[in-house]
Amino acid sequence: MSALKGLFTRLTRSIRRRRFEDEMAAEMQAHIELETERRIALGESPATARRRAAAEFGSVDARTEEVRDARLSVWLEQLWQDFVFAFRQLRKSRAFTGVAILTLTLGIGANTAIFSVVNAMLLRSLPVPNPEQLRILKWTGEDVSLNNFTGSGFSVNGRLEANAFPHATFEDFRDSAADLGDVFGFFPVRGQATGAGGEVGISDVLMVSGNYFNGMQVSAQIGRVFAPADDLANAAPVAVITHGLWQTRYAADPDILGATISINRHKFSIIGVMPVDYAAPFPGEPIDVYVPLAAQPLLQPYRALQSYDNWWIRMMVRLHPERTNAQLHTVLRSRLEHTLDQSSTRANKPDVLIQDGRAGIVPNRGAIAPRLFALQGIVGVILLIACANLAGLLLARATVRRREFAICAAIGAQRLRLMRRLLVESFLLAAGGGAGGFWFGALLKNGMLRYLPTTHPGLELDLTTDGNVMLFAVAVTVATALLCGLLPAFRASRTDLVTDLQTGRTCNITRHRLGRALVIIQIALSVLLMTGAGLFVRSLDNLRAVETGFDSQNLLIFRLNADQEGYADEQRLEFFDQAQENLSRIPGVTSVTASNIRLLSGSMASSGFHIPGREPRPDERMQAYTMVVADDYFETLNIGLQRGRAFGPQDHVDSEPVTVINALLAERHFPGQLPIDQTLRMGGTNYRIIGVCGTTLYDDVKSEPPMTMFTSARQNTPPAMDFYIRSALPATAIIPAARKEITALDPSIPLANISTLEAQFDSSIAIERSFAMLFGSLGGLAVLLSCIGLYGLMTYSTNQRRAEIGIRMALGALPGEIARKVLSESLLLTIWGLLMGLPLAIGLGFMARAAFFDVTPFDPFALLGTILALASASAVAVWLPARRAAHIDVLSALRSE
Amino acid sequence: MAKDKTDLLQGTLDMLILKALQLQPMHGFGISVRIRQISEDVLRVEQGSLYPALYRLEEQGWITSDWGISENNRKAKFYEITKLGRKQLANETANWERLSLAVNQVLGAKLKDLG
Repeated sequence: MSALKGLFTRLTRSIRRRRFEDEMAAEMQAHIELETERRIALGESPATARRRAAAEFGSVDARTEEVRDARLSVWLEQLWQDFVFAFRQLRKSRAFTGVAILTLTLGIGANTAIFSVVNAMLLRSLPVPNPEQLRILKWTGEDVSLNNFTGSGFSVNGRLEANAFPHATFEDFRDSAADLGDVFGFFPVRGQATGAGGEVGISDVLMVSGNYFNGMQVSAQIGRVFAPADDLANAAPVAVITHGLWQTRYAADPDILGATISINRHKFSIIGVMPVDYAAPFPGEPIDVYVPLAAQPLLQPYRALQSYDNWWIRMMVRLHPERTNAQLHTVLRSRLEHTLDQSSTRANKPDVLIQDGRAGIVPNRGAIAPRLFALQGIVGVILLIACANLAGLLLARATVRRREFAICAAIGAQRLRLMRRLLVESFLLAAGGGAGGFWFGALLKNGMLRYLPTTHPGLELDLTTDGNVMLFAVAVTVATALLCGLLPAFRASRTDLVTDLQTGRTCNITRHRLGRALVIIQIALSVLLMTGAGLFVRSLDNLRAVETGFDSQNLLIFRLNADQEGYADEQRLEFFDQAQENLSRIPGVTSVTASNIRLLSGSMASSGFHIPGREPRPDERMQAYTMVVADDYFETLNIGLQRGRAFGPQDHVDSEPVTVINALLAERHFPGQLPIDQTLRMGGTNYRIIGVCGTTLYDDVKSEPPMTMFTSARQNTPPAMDFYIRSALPATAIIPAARKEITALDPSIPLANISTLEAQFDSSIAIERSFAMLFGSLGGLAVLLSCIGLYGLMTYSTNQRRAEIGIRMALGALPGEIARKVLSESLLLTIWGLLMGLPLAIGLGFMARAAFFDVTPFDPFALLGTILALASASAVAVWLPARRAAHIDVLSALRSE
Repeated sequence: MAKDKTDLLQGTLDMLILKALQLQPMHGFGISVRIRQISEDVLRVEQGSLYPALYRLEEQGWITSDWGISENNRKAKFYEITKLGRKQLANETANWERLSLAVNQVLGAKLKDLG
């Protein structure tokens, strides 16, 4: 205990250094007074005595300074000695040092890599001046009925949190909060056809208010950014492009200013190029072109700028440094009420939410953040295993070095000093691992990005190492050093002088127990990750085996958006019809169709309906998914038509509206009846049922196939359609020919979102796949680490018992028996690890069961797989020590004792 | 006063302090008085330099300190030699004796040669 007490006094002393120095000054003052008294006693006058005593002592302040220096230099000197000593020790045992640093490199590297992503997505500030002044505006309310809302809204404790406002509200907010800060608005329009530098491409456009760049406090690299005048209704259409677009589409042309970029056939004149590092306001989802909100009649004609009834604008604020959120809140809240008075959108208890905007807006942050933190947790477990592993190794090493420590203690080294020496050693190891991990993490992070369950295609995260990542790496390294060094150091400093000096290698029972416990912890944590891997692999298998209801092989998909090009309704139908016909003429193509919503893409449309002349049963859900399809839809996708007919040329705008329903809808709503020629009423129109098709998946592999009703594109043509091309060739081989056909038809319409139905299927199970991969690879890493730990422990303990083994063999034990004993000992550790890990894994599995598909945490494949993997891995790990034990040379083993 | 003061070598002061503390715990002033007494006023510790030395010794673990009440009822910090300190003193004393013996021999020889 005295070591702890010493540590404690030292700590408190350094915390209260002021007090310590005050005491010292008091002590010296007392000295001077005693000297004065002595001089008075010798007959000097009090004044002389005091003066001489003070003179003889010298300056108290200077002495205090001297003492401070003396203490610091002693401390530093000892620390330096410890470093030199530790370094020498580590260099002496290279194998140990290598394994330790490798272990930590893996652990710290994985953590740094994941943290880089967390940092880039959730923590890093936007690359603008004073990002801490930025706020995001949202609004909330209860019992909200939205009308004409384009944005995200989710419910938090019964209150809807929404991010979109009417444009009129933006202007109102901007003007009423003018002396509190700059309120600026924007709206992303993704996937627009842009003509730039003579070719058509797809770009992401951000419509911004005239004061957007002013609010962000950024300026252009070439030319200028928008001024409020550019955002007036009659201003000439202008655009600011990003560095990336300037590089790729204009070959970094220095005379770019005044060139035009066409967005959906409308020409915008380029007035500026942003600097290379400007990527706001959505981290990871870059924008290519900025245009003023005034371009609304050109790009978003259906969103009237003046209306209070179209909710679409996103808003941020740069708050004046002297103003507060509360002041802003008071003003905006009353203005929001004003908006709701004017709008058909209704909300009870409306309020404005002011959120920290320094990191920008992460769409879907609510879903992404928990997944990222879960990932950080998983790699944290890896680091814990690495620490337990290293702690075990250090412990074993400390035991081997007991004699050395005992000698140190005998010549009078303080326990604290001994502990510090060992801690310095683990700090050196951690520093090595930290440096390695930093490097390894940098290597890992870019490759890893596409496998993360939080990212999606097109996500471009800037993962450059910044201050946050550095700080994280250093903090993790220090924590690692303490975590794996403190226990062994404390243990080692408790040396029992007499026995240790005599034998040098007494088998300390408790120490062994601790080493075993550490190995068991490692195995238990590995079990956790392996079981997770097993459960995800099973989920993935189940998902792959899901009956889709359609044939997804060799099916190319792309989207054609006729609306962007300003086609009227009949022209659109003609264009889609012609496209379908021309595409089916491509050699090798067997069938072509289109639908307004892409299968398995996560998008869907649904609608309420009723059956005229019949009251719904109380349990009947009068809601179905809807889809608008071109001719040959059921044929191309191989969806069987069970009754009736599919759509054809006989259906047109002027004919009776018709629908095809799927078998599920027929069963639920027309049980025991023939649905053909019955009527469904939806959105004010009566549809006659002309056919019943097979039930298929719709938006998502993980949901049950829904009730679906199909209508014909001939009767109500959507603005854009996804085309499906079935061919005998591999799906992607058709792309060039398809592109040629569409260009021939209309050169300004690009093939967007090119994919295959199989890829669509894959991306809809991407999260499961990436979790399976992550758990699998990290679980493998965990098992590897625990095996190193097990190997280390068994090697060490058989070395310790060389004499015992020698005696046993001298008494007639066979090598096989010795090996079996070592094996069974390690098997026991594995079993303990499994016994601890499996219930934990099953418990966590239950907590996370929503993440699995059709798999219970008791899944025999996952559990048996884990058991088998760990048992065989640990058998491999102890094979060498067991063999070595069995082949001990009896004579030398006995003699060495 | 300056004329009969002998400069102390670094390290010698440490030894003197340990020696002074060998019999009983003392406060800083007491130590300076004791050193003067033992050396019969030949060695005079520059009083201020005593304190850095005391803290250095404490840091090395050779002495410990505690607050107490002095003989004339003042609050004072008392220093006590530790086991480690006694060992150190013994070592240093042995070293010193060897050194001074050697130096004496050299000086003695020289005197003899000259004589």
